[in-house]
Amino acid sequence: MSRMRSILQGKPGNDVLLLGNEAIARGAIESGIALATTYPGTPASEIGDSLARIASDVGFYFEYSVNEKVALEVAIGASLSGLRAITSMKHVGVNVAADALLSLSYLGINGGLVLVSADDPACLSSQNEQDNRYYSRFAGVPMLEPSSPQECLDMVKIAFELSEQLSLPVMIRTTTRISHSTGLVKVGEVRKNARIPAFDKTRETILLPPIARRKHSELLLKLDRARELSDSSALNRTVKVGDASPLGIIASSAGFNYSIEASQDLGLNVDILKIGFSYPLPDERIISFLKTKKKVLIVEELEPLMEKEIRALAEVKNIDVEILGKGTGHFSSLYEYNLDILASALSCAFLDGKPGVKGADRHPDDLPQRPPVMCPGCPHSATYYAVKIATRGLKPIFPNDIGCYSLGAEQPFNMGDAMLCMGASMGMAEGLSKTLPDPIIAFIGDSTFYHSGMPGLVNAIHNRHRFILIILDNKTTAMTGHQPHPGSNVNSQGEPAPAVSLEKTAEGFGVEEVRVIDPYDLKHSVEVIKEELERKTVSVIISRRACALIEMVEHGKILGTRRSIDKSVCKKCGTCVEGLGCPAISRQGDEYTIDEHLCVGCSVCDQICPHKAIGVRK
Amino acid sequence: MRTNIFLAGVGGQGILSFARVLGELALIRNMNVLIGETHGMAQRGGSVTATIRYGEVYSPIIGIGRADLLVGFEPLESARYARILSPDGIAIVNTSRIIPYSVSAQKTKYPDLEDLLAIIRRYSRIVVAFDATREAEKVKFPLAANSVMVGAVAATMKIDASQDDFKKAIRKVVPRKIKENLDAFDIGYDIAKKIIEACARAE
Repeated sequence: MSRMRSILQGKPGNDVLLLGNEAIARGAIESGIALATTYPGTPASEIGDSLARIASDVGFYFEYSVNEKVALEVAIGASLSGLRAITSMKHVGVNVAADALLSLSYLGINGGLVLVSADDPACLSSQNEQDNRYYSRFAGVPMLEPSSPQECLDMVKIAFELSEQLSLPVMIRTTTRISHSTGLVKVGEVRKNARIPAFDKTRETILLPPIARRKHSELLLKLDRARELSDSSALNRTVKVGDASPLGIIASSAGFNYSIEASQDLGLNVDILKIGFSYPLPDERIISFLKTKKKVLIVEELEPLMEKEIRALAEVKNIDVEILGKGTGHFSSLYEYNLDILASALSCAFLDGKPGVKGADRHPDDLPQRPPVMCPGCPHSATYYAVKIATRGLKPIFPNDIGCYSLGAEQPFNMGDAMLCMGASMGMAEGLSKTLPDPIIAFIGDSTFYHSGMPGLVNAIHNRHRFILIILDNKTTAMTGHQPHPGSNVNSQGEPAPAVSLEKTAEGFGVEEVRVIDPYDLKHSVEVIKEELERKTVSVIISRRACALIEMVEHGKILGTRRSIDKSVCKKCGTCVEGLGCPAISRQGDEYTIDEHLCVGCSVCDQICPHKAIGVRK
Repeated sequence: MRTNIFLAGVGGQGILSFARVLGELALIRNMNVLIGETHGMAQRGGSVTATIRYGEVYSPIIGIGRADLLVGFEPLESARYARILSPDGIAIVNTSRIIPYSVSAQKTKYPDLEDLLAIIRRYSRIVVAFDATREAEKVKFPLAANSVMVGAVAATMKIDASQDDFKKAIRKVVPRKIKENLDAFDIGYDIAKKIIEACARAE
């Protein structure tokens, strides 16, 4: 079945089905963007992917940038020439872009600039659940938070207007539940960029200290103006549930959705102040809301940001109202909310219910777990197996990195001893190699190497670090949906593009001898890894084999010939199941089987079976 | 009036496309809809869920005990999420199993189908369990198993839509082998209808 639909569908005024992320992309092309950039990352990826597919048709420039910092900087360049630009990234991607972001608010923008941050409460696809609303406060950047696919579209358009009105970048902050909800969205007219680019040399777009000092004071004035706009914005509005009431809720993002449904289910009479323009907060509106209420519950996932600011407002204005939230134990700062959590908090806050109705555990019947695994035929599995064989008898430490290959940290490989953030495998490997006698073998994916691995390798060469770096080159950014990267020979639109060679890059940095292995050739791979364990300088091994999924999509067929187990020869030793972790091979008690629908014919199990029981069915 | 549908299966089984068919149904029937999806790492062969909610809804999340329909693409995953069912809810279960790596690695056993169905029956009086994957082989197109499941969903009458509406929705989402998929729909519809009628007689 087809996965992605075009965001160009639907005539103006019609309802179409759009994913939150697709609605964001649609909002961008209804705003007349001239340029869009991203580095893919769940839960933001579909914003870039849906823009990539229609960029040439609509007539704007799109790229998958090498990382989020460059993505933001490219967007800033377009803005400085007076055109509108959007960049999107996952929450931790904003950390990479933060160096540019925190000074950009001083610099100011020319053409509207919108940065979408897709946060991930509950770490559904991430290494942390940081709350990027802090960045709005930290950088001094206005922030909008949609609660529905329709608002995703509408808020992007409003964000571009605001950005140009204030000469500031504007952040849109979603969460996984907002980005990955599909709903009916009323679309508007798609607009091509009609502006003529021009760079204004009279504008002070350079942050030398005297200018930076002045720009900081200008930023504070802009934020005062932003606060007024927030107070008058229709994105902050009161929604009534039932009759007039002295009870109130102040909620944002997904918290609003759960609040309204849970209030309806409980039959509450309550007023909900929905915060869509969430930084700066609409102070005046909040003050008048608090004044009409006896009790107000603050509903926001993760950090109690609004709660603390609202408490401060009530204190300063001496308002007699009870403010409930995380500070009063009604909510946790952990994970994402749901209807059950809201029902419990609301009954505790407003109906004298007892607190602590925890969500029941998810797996009450002690059923076998099913965590994500590497796919049948995954070249990463083969590489990990080769490393396991080559390092028998040794006690290597394995710093690992972010991508599909992170799953190598799980059974049966257990080759992720340290894993932190994009590109960190190398820096950590260098510190470990200076302090421990054991072999250090770091893994990094091709896209992650370009993203933020390169400075680590430069550092290793110059400072004479000694470890093995295995670049798992599957020719794509696999985990997030097979986006191209600088090593690909096509660009975002599938047009031919110069590929940046991993070998030449590493050699240019000064690596003695870059080794290249094909992980499907196990014997050779094991030999090379053993040789490299003897090397006295930093060693770079490129394990190159295209992602099995993309290979099959491109060629419309499986990789090779499907394997099966000859039960008369099989000694039930477990090498295949325990060695490779291939989901196509299963063991039930003493019964070993290769699923004929799942096997893609990579041949690796065939190579590892010590009894030659696996082969092509005759 | 809200209708809550919970989908549970294994990454790679086409659950997002299935959700999309039910989404298109909302456009055809002029209903409001919200769909909650799983993307990213969890899709790599792991346990995957999706939700479809029709009516006056604000969030795609379904509370425990609130689903009118549980559509399970695999028996173990169906049992794992059975508690989502409301007492009047119906479970549809494709009994074709996918053995998780944890079972192979720990030398445990994949639970017996009857034990898994017994778990689901604790939460629902009507459990429509059959091998949709094998049924799809009748139309010579194994990927049509999910269209068999769409047929079963239609037979539950939990969604305010006719068989023709469902078929229109399948046509909009399925890119090829339309006839095979529509035949698969009919197969699923007939099987589920018989099972549901038998459950009604038994009461």
